Amino acid sequence: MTALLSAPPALAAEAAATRRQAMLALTRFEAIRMLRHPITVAAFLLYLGPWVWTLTRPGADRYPVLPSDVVTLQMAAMLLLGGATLVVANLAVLREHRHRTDAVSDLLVLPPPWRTGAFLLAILAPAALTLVVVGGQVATLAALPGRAGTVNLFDVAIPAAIVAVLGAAGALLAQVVRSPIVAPLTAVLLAAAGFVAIASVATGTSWGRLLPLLPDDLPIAIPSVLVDRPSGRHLAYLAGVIAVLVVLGLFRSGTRARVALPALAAALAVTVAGGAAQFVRDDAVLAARVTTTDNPAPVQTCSSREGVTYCAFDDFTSWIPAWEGVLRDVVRLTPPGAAGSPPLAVRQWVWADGYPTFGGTFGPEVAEARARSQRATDTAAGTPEAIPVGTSWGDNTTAAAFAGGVAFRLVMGRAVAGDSTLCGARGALVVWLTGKANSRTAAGLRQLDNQSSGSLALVDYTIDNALYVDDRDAAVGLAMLDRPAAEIASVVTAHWAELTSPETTIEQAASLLGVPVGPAPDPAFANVGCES
Amino acid sequence: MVGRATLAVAGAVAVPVVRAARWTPVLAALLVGYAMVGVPAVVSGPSDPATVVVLLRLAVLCAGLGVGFLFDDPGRPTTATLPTPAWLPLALRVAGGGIVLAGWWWGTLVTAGAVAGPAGVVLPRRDLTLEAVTVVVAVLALAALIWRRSARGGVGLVAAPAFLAVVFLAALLPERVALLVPFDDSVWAAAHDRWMVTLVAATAVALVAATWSGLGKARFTV
Amino acid sequence: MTLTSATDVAVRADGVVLRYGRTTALDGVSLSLGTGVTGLLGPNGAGKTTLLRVIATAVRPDAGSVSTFGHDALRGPGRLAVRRRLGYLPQDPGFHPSFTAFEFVDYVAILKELTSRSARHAEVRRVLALVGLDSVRTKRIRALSGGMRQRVALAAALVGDPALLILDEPTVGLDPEQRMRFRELFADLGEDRAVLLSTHQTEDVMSLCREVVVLDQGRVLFTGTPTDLAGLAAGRVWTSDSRVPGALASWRTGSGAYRHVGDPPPGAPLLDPTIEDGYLTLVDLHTAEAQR
Ligand SMILES: Nc1ncnc2c1ncn2[C@@H]1O[C@H](COP(=O)(O)OP(=O)(O)OP(=O)(O)O)[C@@H](O)[C@H]1O
Ligand SMILES: [Mg+2]
Repeated sequence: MTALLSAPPALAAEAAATRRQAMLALTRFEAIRMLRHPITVAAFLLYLGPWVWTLTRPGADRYPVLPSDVVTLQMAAMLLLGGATLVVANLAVLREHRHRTDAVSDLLVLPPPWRTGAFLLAILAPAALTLVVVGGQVATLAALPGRAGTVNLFDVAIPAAIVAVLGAAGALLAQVVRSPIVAPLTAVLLAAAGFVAIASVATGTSWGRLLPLLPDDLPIAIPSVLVDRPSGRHLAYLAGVIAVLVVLGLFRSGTRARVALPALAAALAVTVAGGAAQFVRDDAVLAARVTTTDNPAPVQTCSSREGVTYCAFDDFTSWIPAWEGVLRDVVRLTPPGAAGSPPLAVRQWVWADGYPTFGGTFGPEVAEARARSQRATDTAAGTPEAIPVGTSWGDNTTAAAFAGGVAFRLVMGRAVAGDSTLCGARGALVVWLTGKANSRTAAGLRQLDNQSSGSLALVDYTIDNALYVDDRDAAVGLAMLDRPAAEIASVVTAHWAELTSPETTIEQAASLLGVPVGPAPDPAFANVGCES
Repeated sequence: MVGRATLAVAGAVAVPVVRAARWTPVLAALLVGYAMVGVPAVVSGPSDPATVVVLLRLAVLCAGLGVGFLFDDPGRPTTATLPTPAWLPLALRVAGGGIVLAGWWWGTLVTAGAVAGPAGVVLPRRDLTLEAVTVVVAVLALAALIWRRSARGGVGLVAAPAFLAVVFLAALLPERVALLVPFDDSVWAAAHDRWMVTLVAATAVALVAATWSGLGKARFTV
Repeated sequence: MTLTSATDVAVRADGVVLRYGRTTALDGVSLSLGTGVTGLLGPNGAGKTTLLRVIATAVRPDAGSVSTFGHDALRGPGRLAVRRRLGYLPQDPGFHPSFTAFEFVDYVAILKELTSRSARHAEVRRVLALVGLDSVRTKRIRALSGGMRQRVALAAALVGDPALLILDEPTVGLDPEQRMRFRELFADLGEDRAVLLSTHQTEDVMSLCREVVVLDQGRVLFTGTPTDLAGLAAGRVWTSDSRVPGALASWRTGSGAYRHVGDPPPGAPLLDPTIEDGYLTLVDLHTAEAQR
């Protein structure tokens, strides 16, 4: 009994401990609580689970382009990890009020600003975990053999900063509005703003950079020489926002105005400077986008493999083996020498300038001019009639679009340039070659067929080329795919010249191949703008 | 099951029950949800119907966050052992909330029509209403499950983040069973058959969770 | 175990077991309650609240039966019949903070099926007067003091004049005057009703209770009259001039002498035991037994 009356030595030492130690102890306590909170755990599982699944499932896309795939990660991180930290930090600060312990803790040694400081420091825990997780993800993507683009360390750090911003916002919100509904609503509002920002990139807006995440300025991936991503400046902006939120939180919980106001001014200055600097464009890069869109050759590396020349942007050369695989699969289906001359070549293009935005004008003249300039560029670069390929790879539709380009080159003896519409036997043949090349292109062809109406569009949306096959002719090609492969293949080999002739109608081809053909359309509408 | 006494109690208790509900979070959620279409209606020109569908879904998401707070009942420890079944005050509160939600949804749809401009006629109002009702009932089911286990009647606090997690999972559904399909997608009709199934399932869960054997071990202390 | 004549039994619990995960809160509790005030004593975490919640039909036990006024209190219609005659004050009552005291008790009264408005309002006024809250009837609950809130909860338990009252630490937070008033009130109520109250206030038990039940670690250690409980410490309370290390409890009384509970040294001057001494002895013996 008596032993209980004298305080244990540990307690006495505690009482003598400085505020800083007490704050750090509270920080550790809150940090562990935050990390172990079911919402945090669920968010990290929801964040990582689908990502791991999409990367490891059979047929997964293993050809990431780093800066733009990192933006996808940033969006997911903002929604899930940021949203969870927002709610958890909010609940942590609300908890004191909710359980009516604030009356008790107000009397404790640690004054309110220090306690707020502990909550804010604790937010570093989920932020650090985010840094580790995103770092691991980016490292995994960078280690994939099919990786294109380069890693930007600022971009790796942005998700952690997003989590810190939202955590600090959650803590501040709890001090201002004592209702647990505010944090989830804020998360939804941010999600909505993020979606709108990313969706409206195509229309050339850039206000999305004021959000915690940093959207790309183009809706497609581009080689790193053309990237103008103000990641460092955005990180500075986020640091400023964090500082503003922290100072406001500390001020709200009783830090003296003499200290808080200058700090707030400094934080606002950083925020405004960083935020404004994001909108400063790099004119050299913008100029390079224009010239590279017209003529990518100067910034590309070409390599020759088994008689085919592949020219890719320097940081996309890892995709050449994949392109080669599809090209071989299509060539295998054609009789030897079908390619004719000039020798086969593949060139990567990028649509970094004048990407279609709402209100742009596009007509046949524009496409024709574009086709002429593409041909001239290819000829000048020593790879005439090079098959175009874009800056996206890894999914079925791009594989199908590329296979269609290869088939076009083999059937027509020239490359797709501008917008091309194929009709007659040649259209059916291109569709068949595309669908027959391999399982990926087959799946992609089906997907493209489902998406398109009027004519089957074998289109890679990252480049300014389009290959259409009239629906009636495409239907014959699709029907060919359902017939026994060996039978069709032997007819194709035997009648190659006939099938690739512009004179062969679809009816003739269909009877030759023994597949049905749909009724002929009104002649007034038929074969408008077909390739000759 | 519902005797005369229960009806008389329902009549007498309706007003205090509705007063006792926590309306602030619910109304805040509805306000923010309305802003999802209300703000574009003011600041931007006509949007295409696909965008308006997304905005309406975001609005419903906000409403869903608020609905769970209808179940908050700090008086629960005191009223848990009274002869009136616990689902009765709950049902009255949900009914009150339902009236508010219905008015809100009507207003939101009207505004959404204005946002869509002349293209508004193609807005699939019936299917979107089905989605909204399903989401609300699903939140009610989720909240009822939490409510069963919450001794101190704090439900919305848990239901809101849980609902967000459910929405994320729903967004991840593979195409074969997807619910959140884009407007004009070829699977729109099939997806709305699945919405209907979800609605029926959620209704069943909500009813069972709210009424089935009021004696459970409430272990949570929120 | 039956303490009261069979006709008089209000509540009979038999072999009640309730587990929270791995914690066994009630480990085969059997008891019967008759008319009059019964006190429930026990250390913190003994399972008092859990037992009261079981009897008040707030939670269903994992095993055992509870019969109240002849109804099976654990299921359907029996439970409803019990709830209609029950008043329960939880240890940690909850309120709608924006209601006034009157509105809240009125709300509870409606849920107790008092649907006739004027009669109900009269009843609510009666119980509020009973707990001495007449003057703050129209104050919002969030503006009431802690003790006043406790009294609002008590009024909510009393409304409708229930035949069985289950009160979990009803006198916590009340000032001495109120505590005296409530002792009086409970004694009155106990004249023709069954009142079961848990408390840590042994004086309350001594002055109020006809019977006392001591619970520890989910088991009933003792059932009997308060005098019997005090009697357990007979011969184990003594006085001396100095602190004695071996005693179960010892403290200096106002007169300067030390009072000890425990095994007395031979020849020590013995004192009359109080109910508290009996309780301490009982729990100590039980703990020692459990450790062995
Ligand atoms: N909701 C719960 N979840 C888990 N365990 C619980 C819960 N409620 C009570 N317990 C456990 O059951 C045991 C009995 O608790 P109970 O509240 O009945 O004790 P008590 O005798 O009322 O204590 P006190 O005097 O402190 O009020 C304790 O060990 C407690 O930890
Ligand atoms: Mg207790």
